[in-house]
Amino acid sequence: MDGNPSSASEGAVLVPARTRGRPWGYAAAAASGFLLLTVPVWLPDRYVLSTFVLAHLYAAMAAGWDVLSGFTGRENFGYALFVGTGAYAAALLSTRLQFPLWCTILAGPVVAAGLALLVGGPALRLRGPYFALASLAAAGVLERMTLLLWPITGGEEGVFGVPPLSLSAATTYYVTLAFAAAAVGGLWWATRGTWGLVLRAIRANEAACEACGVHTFPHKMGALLLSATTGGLAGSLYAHVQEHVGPSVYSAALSVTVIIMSVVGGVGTVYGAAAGGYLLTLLSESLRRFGEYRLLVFALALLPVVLYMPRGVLPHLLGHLRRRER
Amino acid sequence: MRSLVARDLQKRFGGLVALAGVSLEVEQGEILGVIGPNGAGKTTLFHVLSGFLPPDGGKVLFRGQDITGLPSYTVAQLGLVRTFQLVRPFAGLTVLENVVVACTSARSRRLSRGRSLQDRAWELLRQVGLAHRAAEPVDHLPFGELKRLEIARALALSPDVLLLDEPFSGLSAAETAPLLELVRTLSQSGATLVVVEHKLRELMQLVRRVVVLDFGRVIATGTPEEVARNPAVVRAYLGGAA
Amino acid sequence: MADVLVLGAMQSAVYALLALGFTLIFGVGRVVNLAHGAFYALGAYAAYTLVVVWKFPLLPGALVAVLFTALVGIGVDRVLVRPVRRSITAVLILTLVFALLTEQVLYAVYGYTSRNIPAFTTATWNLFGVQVPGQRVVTFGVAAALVGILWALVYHTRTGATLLAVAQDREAALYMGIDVDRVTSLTMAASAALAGAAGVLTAPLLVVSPHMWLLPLVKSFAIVILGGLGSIPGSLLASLVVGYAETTVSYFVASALADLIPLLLILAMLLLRPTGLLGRHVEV
Repeated sequence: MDGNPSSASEGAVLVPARTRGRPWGYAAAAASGFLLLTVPVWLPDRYVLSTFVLAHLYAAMAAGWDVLSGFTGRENFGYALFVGTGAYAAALLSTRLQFPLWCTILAGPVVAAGLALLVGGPALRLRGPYFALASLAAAGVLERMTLLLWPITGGEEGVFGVPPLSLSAATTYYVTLAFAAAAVGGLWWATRGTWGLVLRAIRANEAACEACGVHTFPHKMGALLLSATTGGLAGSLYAHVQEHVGPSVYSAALSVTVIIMSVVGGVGTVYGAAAGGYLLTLLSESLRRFGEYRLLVFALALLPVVLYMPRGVLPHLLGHLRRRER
Repeated sequence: MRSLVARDLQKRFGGLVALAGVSLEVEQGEILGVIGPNGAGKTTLFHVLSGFLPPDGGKVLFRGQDITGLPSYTVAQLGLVRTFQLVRPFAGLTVLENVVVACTSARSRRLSRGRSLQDRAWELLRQVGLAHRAAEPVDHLPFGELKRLEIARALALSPDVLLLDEPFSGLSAAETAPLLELVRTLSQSGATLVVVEHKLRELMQLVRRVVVLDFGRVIATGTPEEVARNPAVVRAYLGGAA
Repeated sequence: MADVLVLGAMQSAVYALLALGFTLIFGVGRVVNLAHGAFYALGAYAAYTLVVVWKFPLLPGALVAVLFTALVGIGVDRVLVRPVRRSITAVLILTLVFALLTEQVLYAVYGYTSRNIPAFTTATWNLFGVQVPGQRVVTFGVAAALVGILWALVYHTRTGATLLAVAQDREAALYMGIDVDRVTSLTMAASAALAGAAGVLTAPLLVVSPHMWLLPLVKSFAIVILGGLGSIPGSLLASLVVGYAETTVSYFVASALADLIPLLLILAMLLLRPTGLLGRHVEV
């Protein structure tokens, strides 16, 4: 991707699609919003609700991943770093130090953001495979450390007895829905304007951005912070929903799941990533009987998307609808 | 008043000496041409002047201020802007959006006196003759128009000095004429330009003073006619006695 | 001390196999192959299947396992990498997904219980005053031999020259009439074979489990970054560094920390000196 015009169009297989305020998009958002609000009414089953709770969290995580990786060209292969940190922060503070619920929930994003500030400086200088590797390694380091520091973290077993978010399934549902709505909505709003353009320009050609007088670091850091905070909050909520946290929250599987959701739904479009989160969580739960092969399903969903719908399912659909409009 | 001064710039890449002590001065309002055979160090010179690469030795003074080693975005913010030889458009964005990004820089905002980013971008596109392409994805543009887009982005910063890196390379005859016109207009409106170019015919029509580089050194300066007759220059281009 | 020297060499030899494979496919195909660890796992599991389950004799079984891995490598290149080569992101994602898929399939077939392969030899040798299990010596010997063969192939044959040409400038090689796609596939096969061989050679020493792909991947990546992405001598040098670092830490501090070392090394490397010891410049 050297800016040579003959490669300008072929260089981007995973090209972020554009958000344009089209009626279809808004209508779909409104409809799905309404549907989601009323799920507890027409599907009051506890299991279904817990599935949706997970979907809310994943949608937010996918959106959080996308705001950094879909937009700035820093593909984060260790997003679990933020989620896991948020989860463990909440779990440890609530079980070991008996902090109140609202405190531990907030601790997640705060600690994750702190982590981002700490490593963001040197890390954001890296691009492409280097950044991917660094993030993969970072998550891996923390995964190892939870095992090594087992007196504190409970090792393989993890932390049990994390206080639940709420005893009512419906309340848990609405709290996580509110989080998802706020996260996705907030991230979408933040990236739809000029800032989103600058982020995408950074991805397209960072050197050219700087040549245009744009100091890229603050923008990248902003995206990283948003990404980390979203992940951290998803993590702490996750801890209170599952009432247990283990080393799997730092796993590569989680990082990859989030990536797949975003890619399938639409990289570079916050709403697409969120949609991917919902789609794949619900899909995998409905295929529950395959148990551990969830990732298999994801992977099989991913292949055709990457090969034939490189912008992601949602932008692809929207593109079709727009073309038919003319 | 000298807008840009380079004093004894040195740059090596491992064992390769790209700049071996280059000094030059650019007067305000002039168009200076920089020529030399391939590998003479012209693009490296631009990289060093504009902050893309720090020099290993020497100084760069811009309007009297020492800008040696400052990063490229700072240099651009100060008013020294460069374009790239191999154009670097923001793929995936439209033509207008490409320019808008440049307009978000602090300097651009400051100097556009309260106009919206979009308006400023439109104005710049009109200035380079690309307004009719505003909504198109930048990937659709032919090379000649991409070059003009580069210039539009550079102009977003209202540069005091503009470094044009081979603006005419790769262009067909049809594309060259409008670009030549654009550059002339820019110069006439008072901009200071430094142009690296291989297409000597086009360059000589634009500039009144030329600096010749070879092997990282300045081997001649003067008017186009003087330089063309300089035996050292001829030797550099044609090889001379082996 | 002698222990560390000898064991470190053995460890480095295996790492060299892994790192070389990784750096080869990056240098030639510009592919950051996150499935590299999966090839390692497949090599080990293939050997297990052939030798333990299907009762093949040891040596032929090992060879077939490596061959199998090479074929899988070609498959991955043609099906997953080739269509999306232009996008680094897509390649990263697809190869990582392949790795996870492999884990899932291996788990499906064999479950999570670790398996074991019998050693090639149960003799214990005495090297420089250190008691070394024969298997380790075999591993070292074969690994060193493979590295030597590879070196000879790359730097002293025509095929190797073709490889280097494609690595240097793919487009120019294309203009010269070189079938770059085919060269890339073959390189991937070689890369996978090296990883598979590493798997076969270390399987008798360690346990074989479905998630054994991640750590070797990260370590290969670490070593290659340390040595400089795309530099063969760099990878060899870095293999020695990492192999000895790990052995030393394992010996003098705690073996549990040994796995952490490469991870921390990568992070340190990336944050401080991304181009590595001998690598190319990171692009401006």
